[in-house]
Amino acid sequence: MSIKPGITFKAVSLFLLLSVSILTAVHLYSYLVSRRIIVDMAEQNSRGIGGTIVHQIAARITPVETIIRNIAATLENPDLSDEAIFELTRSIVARNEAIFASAVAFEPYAMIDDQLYFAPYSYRSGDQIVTKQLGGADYRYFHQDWYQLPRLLDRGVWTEPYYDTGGGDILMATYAVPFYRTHKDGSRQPVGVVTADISLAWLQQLLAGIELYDSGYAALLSSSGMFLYHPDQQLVLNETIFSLAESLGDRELWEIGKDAIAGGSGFLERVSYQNRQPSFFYYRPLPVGDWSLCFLFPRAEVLRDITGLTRTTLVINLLGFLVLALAITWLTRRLTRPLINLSHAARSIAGGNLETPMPTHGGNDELGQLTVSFSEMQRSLRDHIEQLTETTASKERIEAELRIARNIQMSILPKLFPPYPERSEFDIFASIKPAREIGGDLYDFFFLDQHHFCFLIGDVSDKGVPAAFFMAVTKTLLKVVADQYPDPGAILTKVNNDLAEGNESCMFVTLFIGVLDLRTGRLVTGNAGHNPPVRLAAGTEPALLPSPQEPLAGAMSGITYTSQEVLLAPGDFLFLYTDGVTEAVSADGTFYGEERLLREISAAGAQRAEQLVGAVDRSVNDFCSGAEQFDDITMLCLRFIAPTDRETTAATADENAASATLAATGERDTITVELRFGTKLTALDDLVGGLAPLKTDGQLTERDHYQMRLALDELITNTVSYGFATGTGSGIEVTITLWPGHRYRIVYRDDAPPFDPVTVSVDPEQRSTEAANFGGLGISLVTTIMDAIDYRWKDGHNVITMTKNLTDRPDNDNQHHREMA
Amino acid sequence: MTRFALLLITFILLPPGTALTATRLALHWQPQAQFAGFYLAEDKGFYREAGLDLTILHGGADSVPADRLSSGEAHFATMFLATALERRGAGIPLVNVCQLVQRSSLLLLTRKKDAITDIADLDGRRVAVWANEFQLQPWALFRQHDIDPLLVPFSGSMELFLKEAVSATLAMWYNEYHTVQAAGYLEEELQPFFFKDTAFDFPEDGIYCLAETVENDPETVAAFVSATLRGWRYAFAHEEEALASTEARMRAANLAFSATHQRWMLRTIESLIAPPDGPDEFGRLSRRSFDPVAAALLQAGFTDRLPSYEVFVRSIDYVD
Repeated sequence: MSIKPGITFKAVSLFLLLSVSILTAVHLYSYLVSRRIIVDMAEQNSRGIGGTIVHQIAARITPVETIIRNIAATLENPDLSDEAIFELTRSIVARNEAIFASAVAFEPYAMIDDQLYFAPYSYRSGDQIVTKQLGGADYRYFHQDWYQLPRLLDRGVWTEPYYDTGGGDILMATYAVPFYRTHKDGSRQPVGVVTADISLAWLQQLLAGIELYDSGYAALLSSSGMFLYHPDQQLVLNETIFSLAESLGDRELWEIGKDAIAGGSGFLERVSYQNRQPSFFYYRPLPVGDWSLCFLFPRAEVLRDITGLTRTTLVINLLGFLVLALAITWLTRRLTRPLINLSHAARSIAGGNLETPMPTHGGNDELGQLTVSFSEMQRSLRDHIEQLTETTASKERIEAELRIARNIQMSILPKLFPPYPERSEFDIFASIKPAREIGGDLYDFFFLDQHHFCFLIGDVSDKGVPAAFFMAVTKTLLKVVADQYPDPGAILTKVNNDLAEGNESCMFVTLFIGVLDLRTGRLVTGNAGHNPPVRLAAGTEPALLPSPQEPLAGAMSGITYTSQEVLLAPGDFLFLYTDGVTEAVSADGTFYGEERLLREISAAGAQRAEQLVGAVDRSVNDFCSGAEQFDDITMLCLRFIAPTDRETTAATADENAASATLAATGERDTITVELRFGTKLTALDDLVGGLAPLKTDGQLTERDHYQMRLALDELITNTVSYGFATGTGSGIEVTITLWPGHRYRIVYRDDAPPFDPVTVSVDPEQRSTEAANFGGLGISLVTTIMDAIDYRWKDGHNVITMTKNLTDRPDNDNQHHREMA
Repeated sequence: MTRFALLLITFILLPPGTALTATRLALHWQPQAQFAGFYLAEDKGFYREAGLDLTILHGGADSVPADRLSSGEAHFATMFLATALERRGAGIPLVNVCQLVQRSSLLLLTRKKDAITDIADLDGRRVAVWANEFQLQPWALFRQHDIDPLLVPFSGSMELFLKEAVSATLAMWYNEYHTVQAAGYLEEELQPFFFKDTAFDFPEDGIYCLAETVENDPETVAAFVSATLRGWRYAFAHEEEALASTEARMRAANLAFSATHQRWMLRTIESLIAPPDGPDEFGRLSRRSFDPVAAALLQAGFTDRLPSYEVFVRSIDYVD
């Protein structure tokens, strides 16, 4: 029977504990009461047997005492002759079976004047009665106890029993009574003693025959405590109860003896001296010679019946408990089985199996209600899970859309570097590392005119889609306003007013704007609450560019921002950043901080803007290793190389095909190739020939040339195979600008339906099957070959701008650019 | 069995043809631990080793050991010193060849509840005295205190005292004093008067023989005394064996045997024969012990003729 420590176990334990306790109490009580009754009965029994013994002894002894007393009275007659007295002793023995012998002993010279001894003595010898004269030199009878005691005590006395050596070792006792005669002077004088010897063999037999339970026995004590009868023959006439007590060191026994010889009686419990068994002891006086009768019987025998009864009831109880335990176990298991089934079902549901069938429970009891409740819960859970599935699906859709929005947001930031390969006056590089959550960092740069270069960085408060929109609005606004107001303070003032207008959500943005005059190095800046940039002048330690504390933009209209001027020397770096850099948090919770930033900039030893950004980026990465990035990390670095007065230098306000046209027309060291392709795959036939001048005139290496051809091959194949396959579109225009030894740029325009190879190539896993077939590995190849790819949908055209640096670059730079894309 | 084996060994050890001297010893009382040394000397074969074939004769209340010597029934007899001197004065030529009990173990026993705090309180009261022997000390004591108790001769049991037929009884410290306790008296319920604390501290058990025995057969006397003392030393060192030898003789004589009682007797008699605090007089009778007894006897008029210490006490010759 396996009892789990569950309800069954608890119920069985409790029931059994209670019933055992109650029954034990009842048993204990009834045992104690019955025991008391039995012990009382044993005492009554002892008294009864004792009384019977006393009666039997009295019936035998009393006549002897009476006879001897009567004889004593008879002997007071002085006329009795010698012969008569002899005859008297003889007839005493003859007429009384109980009397073994009798003597009439006189005081010295009391019977016959010249005779010291006169003591006729008759005793049984076989069937005969022999009579003789006692007394002689070796038996001076008047010195014997049997003579002295009645004489001195003046009454009938039972002597201390003795073994009669002449009569065959029979235990004898003598009853002796003094007799008197009246002296001549009238005084009453003791004359002698008359005795009767009686055998105590009958008394010993009587006591031996007493049945006291199984092994109980009787004992007889003399007036001095001597054992006259005891089953242990060694004690008889050898030891007294006192010497036995002394040898045992048993003080209680001694006290019992003392009380017994003083005529007391008692019933008590004590340990048997022979076998150490707990026993009952009873003693009482006998009507003979101040003797005492003792009973001793084992307690176990007295209580045997009640012990047996107790044992039997105990067994019955144990069996009863067992049956009870089984019954309770069966009952509770019957009750708990549906519960266990329900529990299994619940566990199965908890494990996710909402279709688990509920156990059927017929009853309408608590369990039935519980089962119904569980079924309802299961149904609710199922409904809930369905809702949750739908919710999760829509959430995933939203997240996917958000991801796309994020990509779009990022794509509005310029990410082609170098953006102005033709300008040698400065070098600019920017990077943005978006946080997981959509942020609002922004940067931008553009020429205001041929000599004024505007660059800016900003950070929209808050995060999420609103921040992204706000950022997009800000960037667009800045571009538009900057074209109209060339002064940073004015730009900020205008932009602030425009942003603040209708800014219900109270969003704001920090902004730093700089306008550099490339001819002189004069830099005009405006700052709306943004971190001051770092200036690293050649040969000095980096320092924060002093900047007035002017409010954030967008929160409140009507603020007038000021402009500051600083003159950059050739070789000076200007490092702009958002608080994503300085507030980057390490795993142990410390901020990256401005000090560290300055230290890293100083230690970077950068020669180009890109190197400095890369160094700081690595430093921030190392610092934050393992910690989650909470904010966008945005950096923009500008290096002023040298002022130039080259008025004819080509410059562009846009980075698309238009600039390539300018370059092709203007520069002697730039080679521009413009190619057109039809809507058929035969267009590819013209590709090799079209690219040939780049190889010959532009010193394009075989490898670079091959890669360029491969990329164009892929793009054209895609456009023709999928774009023009629908029947729309007229052709493809490709403008290749090559700065020999430095880099080339390809602007690829087609009027096929919109298709963004950049998005496709970022995450090949997410492409639809169609997109995968469409883009295939080819598009990935293009992104691998090119250092930067930018896609725009412009004027009904797909415009793909690709840049490839021809100098060897570290591999991580490639990675970096792709990430930004 | 042991005895048999010892006898056998003795026979084997003795030179062939050496005949054992038949010797008889009369003890002055029934078998009990008072004589344990004699029993062990016999049982352990010490007498046989000494060339003696000893027979022990026991006495009783009505037996007079001195008469057994003069009659030739015994060669040696044990007696109290006073008894022996009195017999000598009566004409039996006894000599002391060994003194065992150095001090008096006699006492007058009373019940405390009778408020007898002094010997003088016994005046007119019943005092149980043994029917034979031992009369001198109480008589002398009563005379010293000038009192006249009613003397009740008794045969030896303590029944008269226990049944309160007498106020006092003579008792031996090693025997009756314990018998009374074994009949239910606590020691604190008893008021004993020890003679050893009086002027009548008479040495008791000694071994006597006729003067002619000493003259004619000193070797036998020496052998007997030596073997006896050996027996006593053995008895003191082997209490259980001593009790066993005593029990065997008491049972043979149909006497009541109580191990408790006999153990008491053996231990008490040891303290009297070899007092732990006394001078080492083991086996010998000193003049210091002899003289007061002789003087008391003469003074009491029990006799008018006593031998000198040198003539009477020959134990010095036989005990190392």
